[in-house]
Amino acid sequence: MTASRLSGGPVAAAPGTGNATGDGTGNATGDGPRHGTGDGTRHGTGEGPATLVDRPEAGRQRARLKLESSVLGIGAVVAPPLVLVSFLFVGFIARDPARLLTVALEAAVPLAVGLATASLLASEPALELQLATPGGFRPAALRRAGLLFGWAALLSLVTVLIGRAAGTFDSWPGPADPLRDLLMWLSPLSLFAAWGCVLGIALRSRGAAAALLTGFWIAGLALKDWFLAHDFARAWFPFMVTFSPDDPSLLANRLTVLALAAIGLAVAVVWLGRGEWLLGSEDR
Amino acid sequence: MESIARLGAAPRIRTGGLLPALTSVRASAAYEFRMQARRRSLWLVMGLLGAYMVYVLSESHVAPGDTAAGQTASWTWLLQVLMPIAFGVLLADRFPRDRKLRVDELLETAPAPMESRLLGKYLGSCAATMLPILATFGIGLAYLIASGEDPAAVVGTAIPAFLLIDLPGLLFVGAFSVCCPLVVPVAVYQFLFVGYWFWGNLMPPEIMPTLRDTWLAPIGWQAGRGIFNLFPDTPGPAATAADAAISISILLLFAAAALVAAWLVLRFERARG
Repeated sequence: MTASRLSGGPVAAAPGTGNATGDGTGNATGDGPRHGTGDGTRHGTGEGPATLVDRPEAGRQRARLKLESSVLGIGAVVAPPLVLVSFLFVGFIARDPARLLTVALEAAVPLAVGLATASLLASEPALELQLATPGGFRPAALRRAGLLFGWAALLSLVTVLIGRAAGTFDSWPGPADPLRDLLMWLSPLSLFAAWGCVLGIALRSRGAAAALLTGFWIAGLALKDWFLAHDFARAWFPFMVTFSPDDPSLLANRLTVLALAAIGLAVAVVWLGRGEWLLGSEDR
Repeated sequence: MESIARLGAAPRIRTGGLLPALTSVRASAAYEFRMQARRRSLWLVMGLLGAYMVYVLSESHVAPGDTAAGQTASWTWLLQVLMPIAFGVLLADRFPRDRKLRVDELLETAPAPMESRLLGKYLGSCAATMLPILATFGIGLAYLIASGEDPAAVVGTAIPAFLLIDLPGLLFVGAFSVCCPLVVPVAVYQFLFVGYWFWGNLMPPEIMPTLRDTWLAPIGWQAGRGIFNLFPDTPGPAATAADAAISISILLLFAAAALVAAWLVLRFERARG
C-alpha cells in the first residue's frame, strides 16, 4: 500500500520482468510493463496518471509533498485546528479565552505535533523500501515531520495574529510584542516536534516515545512550581508564557527552548542515517 | 515461533466451565505479563519518570513536617500524578499491536474464549506495567526510611495507601487504555488521554469546571483526602471516608464497563468477519 503511495499510483512491476530500483525519492520503478493493481484502468505503459519519475522536477516535488501529506493521515492534519477550536470554545465558556488560547498555543498544539512526529518516525510500514533508496529514510521522514510542523506553525501564526487583532490576548500579562507573540508558540512547537522525532527514532517504539513526551508535558504543567523555582529548569521551561508571562527572562527562555529544539533536530537528522538502528523497532 | 517459545509453556486449556475459563484467563494473563514485562521501553520510560519522581520527593518532601504515615500517603499520591500517564500510554498499543502483527486472527483459532483472552490481556499487561511503578514506590519508601522516618509506620501505611489511592485509578486507566484503541487510533487516544488526565485530575476548579473534586477522578484525590487526610488546607469540598469508598467503587465499575464494552466490540467485529 505504501509502495503504491510512493509511486504516485497503484503501479507494480510484473513478476520476473521488472526490477525495483531506487532513485532517491522512494519510487519503485520497473523495467517491465506496468500493471494496474485494483482499479482495472491502468493496463499498458502509457496510460493513467504519470508516476513521480515521469514528471518534471517541479511537478515531482509537488506530487511528492502531496503523497507525503497523504501518508500523515487525517488525524495528524485535523488535530491542531481541532485543539485550537476546542480550547477557544472552552475559553469562552470559562470566560478566560486569553488563558486557554495561550495554553493551546504553548502546550496543547505542540504536544499534538510531538506525538504525531514520534508516531510517524517510530512506525514506518515500508521502512525496508525507504532504506533501499540512496537517501534512506531521512528525506521522507524530514519531509513528513516538516509538513506536520509547517501546518501547525501556520495555524498558530494565524491564530495569534487574529487573537492579537481581536484583542483576545490583551487581558494576558506581558507586552504586546510581535517577537514575544511569535516565540510564544514557535519555541515549544519546535521543541516538541524535534524531540518527538528524536524519541521516535531513539526508542523505536510509538508507545514509549509517546509516554516520555506526555510524561514530560504533564510534569511541566503539574509540577510547574518546581520548574519555576529552579534556575536550571526555569531556563528551558517550555510553558513560561502560560505560567510566568511577565518574567524578565522570558526572551532568554524562549531562545533557549529554540536552541534545544535545534539540537534535537540535529540529533534526529544524524540518527535518521542509521538504517540498521531503525530496523530494530519494537513495534515491528 | 522462536519468540513465542521463549515465553514458555502455557497451561493446558479445556473449554467449557468456570475452571477452564479461569485457566485460560491465567494462561493469557501470563503471556501478556511476560510480553509486557520484557519490553525494554517499559523499563526505560518508567525508570526515567520514576527517577524524576524520587528526585522530586527527595528535594521537596511532599508533606514536610507531617508524620511518617502522612509522608508515606503523600508519596503514594504523588506517584499517581505522573506515573499513570506512562502507564496508560504504554498499555494503549496492546490490541493494535496484535492487529499489526496479525496474531489476532491466529488467536481467534485458539481454544481460549475471547472474553478470557480479553480479561487475561487486561490483567497481565496491567500487572506488568505496574512493576516499575511498584519499584519506584519501593525506592521512595526506602528513601523515607533512610531519612529517619519510622519504618513500621512507613510500611504499615504504604500497603493500604497504595491499594486505596493508586490501584483503583491504575485499574481504571488500564481498562480504558487497553480497550479504547479498539475503536480510536492509538495516537488520538494517547493525546485525548493526556488532555483528560490534566483537565480531569490536575486542573484547579477555580480555572475551569473539572472532575478533580468529584468521585470520578482516578488520581486518588478522594481516597487521599477522605481516608489519609492529605492536603487538608487545599481549597475545595472536603472528602470523607464514604466519598473515598464511593469513588473507588465507581472507578472499578467504570473499569468493568470498559472491559464489557470492549468485549461487545470484539464480538461485533468477529460477527462482521
